[in-house]
Amino acid sequence: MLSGFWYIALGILAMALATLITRVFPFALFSRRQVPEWLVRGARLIPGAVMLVLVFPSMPLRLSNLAPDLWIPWLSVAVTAAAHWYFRHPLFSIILGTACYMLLSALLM
Amino acid sequence: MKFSLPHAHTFRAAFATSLPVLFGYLSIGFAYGFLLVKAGFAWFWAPVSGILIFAGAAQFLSIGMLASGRSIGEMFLAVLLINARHMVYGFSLLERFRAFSRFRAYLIFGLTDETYGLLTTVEPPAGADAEVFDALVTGLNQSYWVSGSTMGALFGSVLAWDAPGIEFSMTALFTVLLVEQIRSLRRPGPFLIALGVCVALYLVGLKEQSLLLGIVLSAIGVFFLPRKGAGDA
Repeated sequence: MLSGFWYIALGILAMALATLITRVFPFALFSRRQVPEWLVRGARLIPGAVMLVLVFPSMPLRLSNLAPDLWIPWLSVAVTAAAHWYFRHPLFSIILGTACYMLLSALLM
Repeated sequence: MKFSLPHAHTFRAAFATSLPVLFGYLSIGFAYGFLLVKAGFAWFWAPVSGILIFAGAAQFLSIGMLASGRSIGEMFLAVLLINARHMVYGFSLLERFRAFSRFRAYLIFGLTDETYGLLTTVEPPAGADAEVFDALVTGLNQSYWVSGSTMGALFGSVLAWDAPGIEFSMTALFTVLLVEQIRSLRRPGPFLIALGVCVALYLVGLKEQSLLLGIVLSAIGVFFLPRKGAGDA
């Protein structure tokens, strides 16, 4: 098991490498060749699906009782999404949604 | 005779071009640095990440993955798939970067969503070296991002208040990116697939460990979607 410093350093390096690969990829492979259609399709459709997977697991799922720790995250995500749908100002949407979450959690939990 | 540095004119144009990103990167970077420190990490990881990774969504995700002790391989694969969109960016800049040499490697490394947006909409000013102009825009953007995240991390280190609930800003960021994706894709398919995968993993009781599995299954799943029409990806 890696300890603190080296775990973080290696994690950052791995993520830096992954990011670099996605950016270098088209330049390294397709400077002289036609880009295959399936690849364009994948690169276009995958990120949207991934974003949903990133939001969904941090949402609590229970059908038993409607406690604040259940509905506050859902409400805050809805506030963020609605704000962004109508105003399309990323920072405003994030601040509004987070403020909603922090305030309601402080008051009700 | 007017005296000026060789690229002063280009620099002014690049700075003017990068201004819309200045405010956004400073503030979102600030939030990232703050969150990183509040998750228990030392402040210097913020500039280190900003210099080496330089990808907003991936860096926000990295906080959670590092804090919950995910494996290095998981982090690698998750970031590879979130940043898959960068592959599309490269395709439309192949021509523009073809003639470049000195800063080509850096331009490719620093191709974030925002830098891509600027470089594909703004032309270098007349008489300027296009490669220097593009490299300056990219470098300025990265300097805003690294400065903002360092300030956020330092601020978080000196602030005694732990800002309970601040970690929700990560979910909020991904929600914003999700809304952006919904608006630009204009088709429900990829999202329905991802939702189906999440629900299925939840039902088999894999909620906590399922992040990577969910990402991979959704990424494979989108290839089974029917095509919208001729010429459409």
